[in-house]
Amino acid sequence: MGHVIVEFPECREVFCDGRSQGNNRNDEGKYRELIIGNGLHRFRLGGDENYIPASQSVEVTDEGNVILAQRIVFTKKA
Amino acid sequence: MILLRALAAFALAAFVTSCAVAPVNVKLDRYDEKAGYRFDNLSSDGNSDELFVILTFSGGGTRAAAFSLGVMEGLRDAVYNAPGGTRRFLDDVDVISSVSGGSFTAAYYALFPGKFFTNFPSAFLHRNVQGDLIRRALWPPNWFRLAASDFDRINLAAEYYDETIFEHKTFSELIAKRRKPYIILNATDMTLGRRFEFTQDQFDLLCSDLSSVKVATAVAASSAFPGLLSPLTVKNFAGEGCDYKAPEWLTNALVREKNPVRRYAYALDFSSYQDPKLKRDYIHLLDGGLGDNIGLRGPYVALSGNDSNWSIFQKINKREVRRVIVISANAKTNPRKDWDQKQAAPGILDVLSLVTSGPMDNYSFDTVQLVRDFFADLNKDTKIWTACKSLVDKCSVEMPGVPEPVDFYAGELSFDSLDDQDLRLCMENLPTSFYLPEDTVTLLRQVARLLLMQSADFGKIMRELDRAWQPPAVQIDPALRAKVCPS
Repeated sequence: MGHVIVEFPECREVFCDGRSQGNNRNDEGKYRELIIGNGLHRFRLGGDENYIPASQSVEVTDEGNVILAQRIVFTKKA
Repeated sequence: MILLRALAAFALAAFVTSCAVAPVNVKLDRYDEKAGYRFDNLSSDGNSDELFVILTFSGGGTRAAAFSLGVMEGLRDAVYNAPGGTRRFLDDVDVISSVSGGSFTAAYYALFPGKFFTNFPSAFLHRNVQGDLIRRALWPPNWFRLAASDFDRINLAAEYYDETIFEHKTFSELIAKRRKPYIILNATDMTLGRRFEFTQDQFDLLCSDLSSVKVATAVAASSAFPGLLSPLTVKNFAGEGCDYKAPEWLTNALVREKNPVRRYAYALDFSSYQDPKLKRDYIHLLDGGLGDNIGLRGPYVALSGNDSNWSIFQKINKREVRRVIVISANAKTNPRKDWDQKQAAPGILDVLSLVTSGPMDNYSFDTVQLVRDFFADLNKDTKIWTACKSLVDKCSVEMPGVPEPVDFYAGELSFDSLDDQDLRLCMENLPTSFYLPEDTVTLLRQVARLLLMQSADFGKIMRELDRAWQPPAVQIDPALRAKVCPS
């Protein structure tokens, strides 16, 4: 099991393998740690498709722990 | 003349009954990931996911069915003060995963919640099921049916359960009810040696429609003890197609070098039903206890990853769950053995008994431990984060992310937790059969309630929900005990 933070400048819904995992940020705007089972997963964001890459296949490992979560970064399209 | 008439009547009866073989399962017209018997299609109806409760019922024939009923009676009586008024803990149960004898209790509760506590004992527990099954097998017209290639002892058992216990109900009844708990009746796929569950998620892989399958058939497969009952055969229609679309997790999990071995192996087994090269046109199912005799492996998949359709991680990530509770009712026995007091080696029956139950018991123990350790790690994570945050706060630095605070509890109820050694020995030496005297059934129910109310884990959960909660008094009837367990 790994802890994952999905970085994006806005609060967005996160999809892992096509299933919603809630938002990447909490009500205070801080990043939420998502719990994801170890292995290969495809991540994408909900809402406007104004980000790159469109999706990312990431190997989640337990290297991403509760203190230092694994980071998956999406960038806003220019 | 009389003899001729009798023979004619006998032949007619044999013909009529031999024509009455209906297929166990039918083809699914078109795959629809939203339709059918799935967790997401059940209504919460006052049962919030915030407190997520999973029960598992072990195998062990009538003993296990009576024990799991006793646990449910205890959960019914565990009433606590909730924000909206008093609640029964039983009404918080979200999932029941069962095998073999425990599947009778789970299925009956799902189908008939209103009359469960009043009718289940007479419908199943007080019946001499194995005697009735033997009588049916010996009824001459059934010889012809049993001689047919598509009808076996397991079909006879399913037919009996359907007529006498489950009132001809199919899974469509459970779909129409849309009511939690979600029931997972587990059998074992003989080829894979792994769990096969009677849910639409599983039947999608066979391109088959679970809604028309009789609940009695699923229970029969779940309790098809090898040797005594034949395997149940279901048809795999995957070769005929149903526009099945593999879920995204499965495609990802099949990339060997990027996944833990356990996830990859699970995905490989899962996808085998759809693989035309493997030619799995028929799936043969045996007792669920062979793959997992405590019913906890399915929930473990949902508890430890995001792949299950009712993944707990997903519910935590979506802030739907705040407490996760697993209670395993394990009616395992530990029959007295005198092998080590004799020079002569144990006989063939002892050896067979050991090879059939020994590995199952060890595996069950490991599974319970696996869940407990996993929960301990998750609870530790929250403590570590909180401790680290208190340090970081002093430096006016922010933690990079915020985890969702969730509490996890796992408890196992089994005879070896009984303080009373004589009662423990008596319970641990009960037979595994589909017939027990009524007094034994009643004592098992009382013992189960006692174990639940004495459980430190359960007490902790209840006091988390309601600080003032006190367990109701449970008494073992001394006269009943003396009758069932003479010293």
